[in-house]
Amino acid sequence: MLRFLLTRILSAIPTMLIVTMAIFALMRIIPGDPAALMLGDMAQPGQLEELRARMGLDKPLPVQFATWLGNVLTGDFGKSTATGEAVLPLIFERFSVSATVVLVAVLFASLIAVPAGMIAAWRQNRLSDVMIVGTATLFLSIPSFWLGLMLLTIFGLWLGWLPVVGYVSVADNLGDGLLYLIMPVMTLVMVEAGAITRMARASTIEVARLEYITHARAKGLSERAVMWRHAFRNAFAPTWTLIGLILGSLLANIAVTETVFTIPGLGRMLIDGIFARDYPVVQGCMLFIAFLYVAVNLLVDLIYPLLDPRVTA
Amino acid sequence: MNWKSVILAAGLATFGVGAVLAQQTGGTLTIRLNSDIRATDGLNRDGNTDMVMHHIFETLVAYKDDLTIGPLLAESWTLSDDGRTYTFTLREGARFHNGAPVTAQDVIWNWDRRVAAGSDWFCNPYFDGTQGLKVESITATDDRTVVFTINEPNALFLAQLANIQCNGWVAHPDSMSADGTWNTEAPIGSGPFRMGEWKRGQYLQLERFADYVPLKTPMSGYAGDRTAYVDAVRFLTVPDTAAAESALYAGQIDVLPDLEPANIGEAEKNGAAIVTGDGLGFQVLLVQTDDPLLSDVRMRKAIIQAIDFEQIAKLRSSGLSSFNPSMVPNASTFFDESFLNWPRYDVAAAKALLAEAGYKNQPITIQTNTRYQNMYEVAVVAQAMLQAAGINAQLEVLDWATQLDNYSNGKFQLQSFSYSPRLDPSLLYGVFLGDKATDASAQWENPAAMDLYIRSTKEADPQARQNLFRELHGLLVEDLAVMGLMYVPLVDAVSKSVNGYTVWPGGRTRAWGVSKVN
Repeated sequence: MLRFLLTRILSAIPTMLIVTMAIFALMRIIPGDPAALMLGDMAQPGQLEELRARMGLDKPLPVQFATWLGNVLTGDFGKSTATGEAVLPLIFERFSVSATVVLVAVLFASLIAVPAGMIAAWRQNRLSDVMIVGTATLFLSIPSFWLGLMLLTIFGLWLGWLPVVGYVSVADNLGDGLLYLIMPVMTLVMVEAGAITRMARASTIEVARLEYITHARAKGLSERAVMWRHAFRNAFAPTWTLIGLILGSLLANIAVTETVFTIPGLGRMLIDGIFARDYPVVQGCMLFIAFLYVAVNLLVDLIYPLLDPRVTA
Repeated sequence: MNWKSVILAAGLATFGVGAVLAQQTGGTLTIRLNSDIRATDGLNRDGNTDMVMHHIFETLVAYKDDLTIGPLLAESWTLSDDGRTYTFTLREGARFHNGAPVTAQDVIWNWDRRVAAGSDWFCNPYFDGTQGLKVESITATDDRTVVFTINEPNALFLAQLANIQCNGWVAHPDSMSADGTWNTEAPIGSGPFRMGEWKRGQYLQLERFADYVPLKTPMSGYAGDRTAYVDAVRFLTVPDTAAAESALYAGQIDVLPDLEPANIGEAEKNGAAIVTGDGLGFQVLLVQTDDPLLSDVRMRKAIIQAIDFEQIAKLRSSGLSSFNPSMVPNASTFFDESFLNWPRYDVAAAKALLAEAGYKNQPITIQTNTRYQNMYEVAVVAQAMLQAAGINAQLEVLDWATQLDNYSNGKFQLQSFSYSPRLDPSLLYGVFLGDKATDASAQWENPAAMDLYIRSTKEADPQARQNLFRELHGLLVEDLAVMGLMYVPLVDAVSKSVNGYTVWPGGRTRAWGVSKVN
């Protein structure tokens, strides 16, 4: 296990290095000058060049990259060009917000979708299967921003039950915090539960067709016992991988939901950073997200053997 | 009328409290921001930052509704006969949020701080002689009197002191931390609101400054009486416009600035009140006069005559604004009908000019973006009109950062663009005029026009300045170097629980003079 862990961590190093280069290069390839954006249409002659020099943008790209990478290795992610705030604490602060929403959403989505998918597989081609698959496909097809706006309109505007904008951390006020979480979590649950349901169903059906299941049935075990004891546990492993991927993906791609619901999370910070060409913020966020992907996948791989005894670490 | 009404009416007449009753005190006014502010030091700024900071701090003088200069932290001022010495008297009773009186020494301390910031304060070139005007000295003759001496008479000195984007306000020296850096979380001003809680990316709350002593002159623009009636103002960051509109209708936002004119009907249907007024944001179609094709003034005139600017202005503003190609806004006291002189929409004339210029269907690209809906829509309509007139117009939709970069570097043929408000016509002319060889963002190269512009910054007499602006517009009509469309109207939506909210040409939201109805 330890060797596996070390191998995975070491293999992540070149991945992260490539990611840093790719992030840096991509940010410089896309047109748009952060200094020009800061000055807007108020720039006086000569001020643009001065600001570029102060931001270090006049230096050759390899020098800029080496400076940034050197600072990152010492834990200094730089300061936001837009606000002057240190990037790393900002990332942690915003990530805690995103993580709260995503973890709660993935937990609920899994609790709903995994049993639903397995039930659909168990009742394959019956009415309950059709209904579950139909609902899952419907939710999967709905864009999250549209779903979010619909929930805002129905529960916030028409019914007035839930706050439309703003955010309160559950750490600051549990009651209000939960109130503000309901709609963004609902949006993510509905969208992601569709994918998990379909995966849980497909993998359960696949397992149910294997010989050892046929063998269990031939032994005279009841269908309920076959499914519970033999099929579901083995069928859950691929679903678990998907849940891990969704978790990583949502942590990185929650920006749309955060924008619609005014959640000050990491995704929104990244999008704002891209629009403002705030290089330190974008580079810091992207690096952190890449690290998250690696970490979440590593965690999933470590848990996998516990779910599927055939797999060893 | 029953006896209670009689007594009430008598009471009102006796004590003159009608105004007080009209403006209830208390409550929290929630105003939407489309993005969080950048900082509180007045150096790192954008439009939202300026607007919030001007609630905490006060400049010596400020723009009024009619875009002339009025008192604020200075209740009065005098100008010496030679036009070089301005003597300001600070408002009696003016105090900082920490209780300390505002003194002339504080004004000097703030001025020195900004000058020391060098290029960090982007307005330094307005005062250091780079553009003519130079502040030679600033002294205090007593606690309430501060004297500025400038190098030569300048019509824009007060305007630049009042310049909203410059944030030339007065802060208490304790706004600095012990290490000599600005204390972002707790700046101390003298305005009607004091800094409250700032949750970055979420909201910034200001609290009413109970000891604020306002001017007796009525509220006008950013000048005059700044009495606050609400206990707190919460600037809520809501990036998504659709979500912000829903929040207004659900009662979670009280003021939604910059509503799209096309959404007025929807807002009214949902119970919001609409407040409109003339704005100063200048919407234009920029043209690159260095472009081989567009360097020919006949081509530029053909483009102008192929586009029905009047119709676009009317449609885009839902009739709230009208076509104005000049750099003198309709809201300016300098404006009159002469500034509307411009080649009119005439497709036949446009086609004749194209033929005369030898146009051979070469593509002409209009750059725009979808971040600012107004720029995008104007570009789309202009493209259609140009194509209808036989011009091979192409649309290039960029992200805003890219378009702005192209603007700064002069890399475009046509660009749908909008300028942030400049509160004096000279300031707007100054943006456009320049030498493209040294300043790629300059739009209009004309030495004679540059000379007139410089004269307009030094001339104090309003009539003489208006004549200079007329001459400038005359030259613009000859050169056709900038295709002005209109001044974007101000359209704010407010909830019915808000009383006394108004807009002014400066366009910045004001939370003073506003109350919440219980």
